[in-house]
Amino acid sequence: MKIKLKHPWWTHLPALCLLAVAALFAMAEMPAKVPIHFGWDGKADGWGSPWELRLLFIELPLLALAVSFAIDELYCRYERVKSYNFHALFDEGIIGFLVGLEIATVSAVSSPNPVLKGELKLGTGLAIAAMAVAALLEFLRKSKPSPDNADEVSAPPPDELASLAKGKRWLHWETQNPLYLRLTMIAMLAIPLLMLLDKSCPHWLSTGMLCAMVSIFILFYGGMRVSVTPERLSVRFGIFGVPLLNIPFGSILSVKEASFNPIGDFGGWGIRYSLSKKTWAYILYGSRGVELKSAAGKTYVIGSDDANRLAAVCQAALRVSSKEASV
Amino acid sequence: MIFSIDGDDPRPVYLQIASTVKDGIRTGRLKPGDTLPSVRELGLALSVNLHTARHAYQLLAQEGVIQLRLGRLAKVAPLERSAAIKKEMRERISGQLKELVSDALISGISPEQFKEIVEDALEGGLKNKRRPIQ
Repeated sequence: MKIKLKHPWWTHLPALCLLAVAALFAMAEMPAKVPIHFGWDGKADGWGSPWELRLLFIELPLLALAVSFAIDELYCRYERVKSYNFHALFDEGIIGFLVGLEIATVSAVSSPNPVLKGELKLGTGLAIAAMAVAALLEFLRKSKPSPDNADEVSAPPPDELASLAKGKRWLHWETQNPLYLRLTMIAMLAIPLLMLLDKSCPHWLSTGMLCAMVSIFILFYGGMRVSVTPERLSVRFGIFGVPLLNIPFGSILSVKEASFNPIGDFGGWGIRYSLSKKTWAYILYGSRGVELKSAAGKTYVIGSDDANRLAAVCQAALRVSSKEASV
Repeated sequence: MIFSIDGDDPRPVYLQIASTVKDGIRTGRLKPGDTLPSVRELGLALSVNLHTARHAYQLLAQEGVIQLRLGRLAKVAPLERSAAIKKEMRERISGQLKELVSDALISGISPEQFKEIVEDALEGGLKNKRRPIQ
């Protein structure tokens, strides 16, 4: 299977060049025992083999590059019209700073009393220079929105929608429970357990972490459940289905189907707030949902597998509640 | 997936709720592993007695359509049924079909016409689905 990249690889060129520089410095000659950690005063306080240092030089930038690569690719997969992706500068910034630290470290390792000097200035300078080039490359990037992102033609509402007339009782129910959420929730529980096993970890920290992770697990394991009745829309999460959003249709002005770019608009998936759009988003995956505007001036976006249908159901509920209000 | 109750439908309410769930699975709107609303939520939203809603879920669980676990939301079961449930459903369906055949024959519907009705119903059932059902 050939994977086609939506985000061109050459926007990562500054980061790749910096990675090459990092590799070059990692190959420099080093004594048998080198400092691998420096205290806040710049004096070395941790020692190790030169291979530990070399691995550190390569793996940290590689990690930053991989994360940035994934974020940019996801951004572009959901892009409808070309928009400036500020996330593209992420890897250049981090790797630039890391390479600055590495250069300062390499020049310090051979002395018997290693002291880091000027590493912050060097790192910041490199990061700013690399980010400037990356910003230019991102500007030159051409966007090729994928056809799946084009706004779908609204399908005619199914006949069962016709039965949602006034006076009848009904409940619309839909769920989203992606595999990644389940796996993350379980993986998160492993963190405090590992901390409990680690004897050097203070008890208040591991116990606090355990409480925090168990609360998050209870609150979010089980995914998102959206229910719509003629009166209200509720969004529930977690094992006990705690309603984190509960909006009566009496307070809603308009409902429409919405498409969004999860990373571009909300910085990812989850329960999120966009400052620029002044919108609360309840999205677990995908890029389609329903947008509700309330009389209080609040906007909510709720993700859905079948946004078209959820919008039609909400509109039916809205019609019922506005009719009741006018009577 | 919309749960609604039709007052004109002669079937009891719990059967209507159960058939909504089965319909959701047939059309692919409900996938195995999807959760269903709690008995309480369903009862309050549809203004039916909580026992009625629970009765519907218990019926579905008996037929192996959903899985009920104490304190958890009901979950749509995998499509594979155990041999015992398959055998039971086969017997039940053939029994119901025998009744329908007698109804048809004594009201003058020919065997050919009856086959046509069955084929139409099957075709309608296989239409509107989002994924193949074996």
